[in-house]
Amino acid sequence: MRKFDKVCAQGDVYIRRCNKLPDNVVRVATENGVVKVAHSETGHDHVMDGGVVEMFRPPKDAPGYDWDAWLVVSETTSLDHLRPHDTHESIEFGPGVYHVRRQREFVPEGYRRVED
Amino acid sequence: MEAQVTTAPAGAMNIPDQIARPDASRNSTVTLLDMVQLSVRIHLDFQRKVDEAWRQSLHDVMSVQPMTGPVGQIFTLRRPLPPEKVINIDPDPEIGELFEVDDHWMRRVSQPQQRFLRVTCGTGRKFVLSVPPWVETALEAQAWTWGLNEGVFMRPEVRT
Repeated sequence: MRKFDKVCAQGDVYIRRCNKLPDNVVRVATENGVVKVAHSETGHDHVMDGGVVEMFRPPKDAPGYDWDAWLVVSETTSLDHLRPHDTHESIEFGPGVYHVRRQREFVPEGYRRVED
Repeated sequence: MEAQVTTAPAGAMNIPDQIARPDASRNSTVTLLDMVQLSVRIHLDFQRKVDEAWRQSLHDVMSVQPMTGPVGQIFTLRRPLPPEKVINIDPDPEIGELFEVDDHWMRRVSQPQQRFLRVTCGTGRKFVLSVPPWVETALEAQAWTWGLNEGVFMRPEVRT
C-alpha cells in the first residue's frame, strides 16, 4: 500500500488534497457499499469503502460533471483498482477532503476521457 | 515494410465492435513499438469518425485479421510508419516525452501535425496519449491531460 501527502495518481485518476468541498456539489450514492471514484465500462473501477468515504460531483448539467469529483474521507482507507491484470497498486488515504480529476486526451473535436 | 502487432495483453480480450473491428480505444494495449500502437489507435479512431473516402484510405494502410488464439487481433501495417520528432523529454518518465508526428495520410484532416505524450504508468506499462498541438513541454502536456495548466499542476508524489 502506497501513501501520499498531497497529490497522487492511480491510472487515469489524479487526486489532490484540498481544504473543503466546493459549493453546489451533489452527493453520489454508494453502490453495493463502495464509492466508485472512477467508473470503467469494462468493470475495472477505482473504488473506496462507502462506509468511510462520501463522494460528491457537480450537478449533472454543470461543467465538470464528467471530470471532477470530491471525496470526504472520515477514516483511513484505501483507493483500490478492480482489475485482475495490470492492477494499479492501492493507495492509502487519511481523513480529509480530496479533489479527483479524470485524465483526458486530445481529439480533433476537443478532448475525450482516457480509458485505462 | 510490414509490421504485425498484437494489441491485447495475454489474459485480456480485445472486444470487436458490431462489424468486427477491434476496439482499441479502451484496451490496455501492449504493443511491440509505441508507434505501432499509436498508429492503430489513430486508424481506429478515425475509422469511426470520418467519411467513406477516409475509410478507403484506411484500408490501404492497414488490414486487420482475427488471431486464432485468445489474444485479440493482428494488425498488418502496409506502409512505413511515420517518423516522430521529439519536442521535449521530462526526466520523470511518468511525466513523459512529448513528440510530434507529421504523416502524409493525416494531411487529409485539418491538423496533420499531431503531438503525443509517451508516458510510463504506475504499473510500468507505456502509453501514448494524444495532446493538443500547442503544448510545448512534456510537463505542460501532462498537466493538460488532467485539465490543468502547467503552473497549477503538481507532480504526484505517488503514482500507481
